[in-house]
Amino acid sequence: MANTEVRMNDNELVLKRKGGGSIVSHPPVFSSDSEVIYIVWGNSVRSYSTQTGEFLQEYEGLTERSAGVQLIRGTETLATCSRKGEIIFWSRKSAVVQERKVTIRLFMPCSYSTSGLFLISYEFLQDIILPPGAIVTGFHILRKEGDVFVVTQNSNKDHQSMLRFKPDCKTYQKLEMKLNKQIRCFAFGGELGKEYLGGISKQHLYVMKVKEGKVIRHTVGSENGLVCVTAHPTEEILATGDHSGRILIWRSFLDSKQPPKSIYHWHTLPVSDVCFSQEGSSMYSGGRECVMVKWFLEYQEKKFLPRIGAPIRYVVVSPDNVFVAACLDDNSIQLVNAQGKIKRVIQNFTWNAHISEKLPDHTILHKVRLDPRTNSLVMNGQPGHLQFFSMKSSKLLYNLDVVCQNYLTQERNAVIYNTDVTHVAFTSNGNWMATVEQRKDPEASLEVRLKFWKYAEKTQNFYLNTCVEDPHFGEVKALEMRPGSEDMLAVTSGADSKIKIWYLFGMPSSLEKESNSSSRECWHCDAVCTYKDLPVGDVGFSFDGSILGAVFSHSLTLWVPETSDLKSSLSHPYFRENIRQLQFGNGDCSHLVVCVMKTNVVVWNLLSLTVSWVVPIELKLLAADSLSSYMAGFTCDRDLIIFKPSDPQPVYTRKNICPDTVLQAIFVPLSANRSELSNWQQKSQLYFLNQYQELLALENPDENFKEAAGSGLQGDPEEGRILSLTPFGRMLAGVSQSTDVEPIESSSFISVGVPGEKEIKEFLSMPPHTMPPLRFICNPLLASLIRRTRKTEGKEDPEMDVDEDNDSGMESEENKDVLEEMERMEIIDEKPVRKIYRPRIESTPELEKALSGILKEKTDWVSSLL
Amino acid sequence: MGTCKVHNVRFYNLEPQAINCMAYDKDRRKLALSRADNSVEVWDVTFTPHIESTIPGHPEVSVESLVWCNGSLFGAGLQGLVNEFDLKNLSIKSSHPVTAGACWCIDVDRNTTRIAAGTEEGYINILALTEDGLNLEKLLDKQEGRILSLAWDSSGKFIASGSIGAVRVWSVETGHALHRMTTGKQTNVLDTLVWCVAFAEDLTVISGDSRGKLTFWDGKLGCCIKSYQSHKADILTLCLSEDGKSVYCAGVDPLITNFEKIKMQSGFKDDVLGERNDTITTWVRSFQRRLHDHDVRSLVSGKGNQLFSGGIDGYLGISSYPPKMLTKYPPVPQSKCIVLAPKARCALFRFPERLELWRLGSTSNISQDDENYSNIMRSTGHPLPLLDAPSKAVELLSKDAEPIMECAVSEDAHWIAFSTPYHFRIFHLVL
Repeated sequence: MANTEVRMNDNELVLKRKGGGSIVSHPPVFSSDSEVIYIVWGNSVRSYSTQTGEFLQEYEGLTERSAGVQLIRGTETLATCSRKGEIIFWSRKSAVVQERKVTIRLFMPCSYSTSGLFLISYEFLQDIILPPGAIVTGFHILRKEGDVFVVTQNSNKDHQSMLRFKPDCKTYQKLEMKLNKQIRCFAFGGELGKEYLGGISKQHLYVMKVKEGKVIRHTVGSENGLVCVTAHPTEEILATGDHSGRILIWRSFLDSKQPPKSIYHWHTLPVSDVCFSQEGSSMYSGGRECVMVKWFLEYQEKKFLPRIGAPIRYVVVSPDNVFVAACLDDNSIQLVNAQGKIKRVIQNFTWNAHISEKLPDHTILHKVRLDPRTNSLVMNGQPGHLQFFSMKSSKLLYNLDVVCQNYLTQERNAVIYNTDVTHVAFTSNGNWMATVEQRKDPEASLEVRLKFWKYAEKTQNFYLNTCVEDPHFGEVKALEMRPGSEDMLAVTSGADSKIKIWYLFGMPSSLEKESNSSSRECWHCDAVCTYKDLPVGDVGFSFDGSILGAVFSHSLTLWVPETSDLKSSLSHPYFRENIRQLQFGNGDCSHLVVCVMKTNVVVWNLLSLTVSWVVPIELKLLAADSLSSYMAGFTCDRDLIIFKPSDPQPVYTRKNICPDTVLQAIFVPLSANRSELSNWQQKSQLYFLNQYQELLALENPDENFKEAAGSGLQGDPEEGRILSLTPFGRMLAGVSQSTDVEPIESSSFISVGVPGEKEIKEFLSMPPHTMPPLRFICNPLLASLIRRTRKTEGKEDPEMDVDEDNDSGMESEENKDVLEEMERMEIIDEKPVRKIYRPRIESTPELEKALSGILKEKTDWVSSLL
Repeated sequence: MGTCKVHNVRFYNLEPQAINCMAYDKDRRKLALSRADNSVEVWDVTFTPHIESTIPGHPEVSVESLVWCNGSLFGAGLQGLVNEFDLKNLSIKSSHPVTAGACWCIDVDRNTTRIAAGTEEGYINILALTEDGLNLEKLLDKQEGRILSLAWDSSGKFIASGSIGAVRVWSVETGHALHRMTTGKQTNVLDTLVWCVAFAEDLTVISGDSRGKLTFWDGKLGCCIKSYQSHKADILTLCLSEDGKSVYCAGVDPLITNFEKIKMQSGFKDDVLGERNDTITTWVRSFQRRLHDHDVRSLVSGKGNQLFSGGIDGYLGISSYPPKMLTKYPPVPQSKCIVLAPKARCALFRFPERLELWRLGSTSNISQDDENYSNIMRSTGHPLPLLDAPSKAVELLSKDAEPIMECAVSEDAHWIAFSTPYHFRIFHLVL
């Protein structure tokens, strides 16, 4: 299957990407007819329709992260190159041409065929050329069977170099260029046969006629370094953006020593990207000002598209000039039309781009949470926002603006700090949400706000109820809301070595009359607790909410939340390290508390107030399942350990679970128990986020995971095949697709495949004069549509059968073959359905009957066997 | 060291005289420029640029355009005259009337044998340069409306002229207009004025107009090659560089914009014949520089990529790019402009057309015994308290607004003398 999976030796679970990840890491590419946009997503390429913004298909095959995507000129071949230099060619429409193939790839090492889609594995590229630690960051393939240019980056050098390979990729030549370490550090332009290359370093523009291969260097006189370069597709024009926000247009740079440069200056921040329109009379540019500028080269005029939402990374113009794709830092691609209106938005996770870029103002939630109401993942999104990402549909539900402040754009020579959310917590019923936001500017004093939000059923949204400025003196270290109980209670711990208990109070009765009923409640600080002046760390509630645990340095203290009485304090003389994380057990382990220290994990028994067990292990992350007693820990070496607090022996371990840093982990409850899986996976699925903000999960390799498929998680490549919900719409989209390899949706609200597609196709493809009268075709055609839909709902509808009987009863002789044909097709259709959907079959009446029969059977004899 | 009192004169406000037009003599490397007071300055720019001589202006001899011909300087004005300046005596050597109305523009051909002068009523006068002076050689056809600008081509056969709403190409031989190329209007009400034209090597005519558009015309075919909205307001002046490969233009919008001629692959491709390598030349916008804060009236290119610029602010800018360089020369009065009368504690200030005698202010005499003395003296540069404010005693206007060349005042301020180019006057002052 997909190469994104990493097979394991010890057991069958594989790592799967379920969503998230950057779609703006590299500039997208439009197809030549501008109908499709291709986007680099991790180590695959995805295509989206520009008309609908819907996901179309995924091009897979790379084993490493991709270093860009390119549609080779004059062909329908899509190419991508991995960071290790492996290049893959896909036929752009392959999924259509070879529709019934299970794999859409043929692997032909070191060869190239023109009839289809193929992969060239440049093994020697990996082995010989690239020194260890070096990666490929960009590539360009001149044309079909043309030279291949590869940009490589060595981590210990401050520039990138460019290699030019002959078409057979056996010999190469290093170009005399020292390129910037940016994605847009080189550009190819010019007509076919007269291509030129432009590359930039800080002070120089390198240009080269591709045919002649001689590099010319032009020096930029200013101290402002160049940051991006773009070439015009046909004419000899290069555009470079520099650090001071100017755009220079270079012409006749291939021949003259001092080529004329025109200056276009509007941006105040460095120019992120420039892109020419197809005829070269205008260009688009963007930067961190969140404004897209359209320049008319010959006139002084420019048009603006302001408030685009987030800083712009890349700008790409479609070949028909209809769309401009602006890739934004919040991980969205906005398709803007020529009139400057945003027409489509392609969005995955809203993204806190700063996390991966390691900008100083990045903040991240201390704990990712689940919204109990929608079962959606709640995490950081755009600065100051929380994003609610539905695990059911794998779609972004909404962004909640928590800080309610305008986003402050960065400046060229200064870091501007934005307020961001650091903690979030929900009550068990999801009626209340608490957030902590802070702005940590080293120049100014710390701003911290604790906010309580109430969920309004009517509008289905959270409304701010209480806002507490500086709840603690200094940062807030932890925030928890009491689970279970009706009594609303929250607890915070802060850098001032205090824990504060917050209660929801009704207003005094005198005020109650005046204020309307919705705002008469608010949160107050009820108690402040300290313990021996020790610095406070994590806090946590037992799963029934009866005990509050708080960490004071190396001591675990237990409190009664209502009265804020200290019940006991637990600390072990041998383990005097700071407790980093605290987690109460759940279910049959609810008397146990897991304390994560720097080098040990200590589990206390609350009944005996003794240490149950200690394991010397360095855990970085600890996540607990809310439905079972299992916990998942991630070590610093990226090992995953699943264990029960009652037992020091792990249930499941997995070495080096993924090559990237794991930032967050959470158990997401499944909608149904899955008894066929191992114990710890039965009730909840463990998801974790890596540094690329990709949502990963461990799954059985070949199973079409019901939960995932049903939820239509975007990580599932099959899911996106659904282009259009009607067969007519599908045909309009020009995609023919067999329904029998289609995975069938289990959830009732998403229809599966295209019902009745075959019938309609047949109906349309038949020449009109050979057709039977319409009244004969009508019934079976409609029936086919109905039947398919019903079937996916998983019920054999008795009414349906009656209809069918009536039909067949009424049909004349000549119509019988049509019906037979139809039934035959049904059979064809059904088989794979059964294969893929075992759970579906369970619910059919016949099966239920059979199962109930089995249930009635006596099982006493089994015990005699044992 | 002794102390002295410094009078801080804040009431001598000379207005800088705007630069109207300039001409550069590339053989002698001299720059002539006329100012708003109709005076003409001749700068030597061979080494460090300096003023060589100043020809005083006369209010009735305006200078709208200047050309150098073999070391002699010609100017044209609204009085309908083409004047030759005497650079030795600093006066007008000879005047030649041109046909019909004010003369707006003159230009000399490449061989410096003929001067063309465009006039208010639409005539282009071709004046031949002979040993005796200027002789009218011929008149080209009359056109409607004034001729605002004109330029010779390199062969001397054609003249391009700019007028209201049109650029024309004339054949000097026949005297007829070959092409009339209309500029179009920005609005229905406003006429487009073609303020400046230039003739490039390959018969390309370049014009700048009041819409701020720089247009490149094909002089052979009489059609527009390319038009750039290069400025936000009127383009008043443009000039070609020495090698003819770049154009500078500026105007009411003081941004000096450079356009460069480049060779481009033509759009035509012939796949059968393979490499044809057809190139077309085109003009593209290059760098922009803001050298002046107000209108730029005149641009003249010097040696290499040297550029002289002048305008309303009166500064002469000498710049080049690349390398990026700029020197600006302020309009400093040349001869003595302040004369003191120490006995009367008066100062005489010279303005272009008037004199002002001011009685300087006085301060209280602070004795050294005064306790404040040391404090005041220690704070050097601090203003002393004034007893009497300076006051204007006399203002003398020169008759007929003749420019004042020199002036003098006696020590007791009873006598004031001044000279104009035409008169010398002495006044006795009884205060």
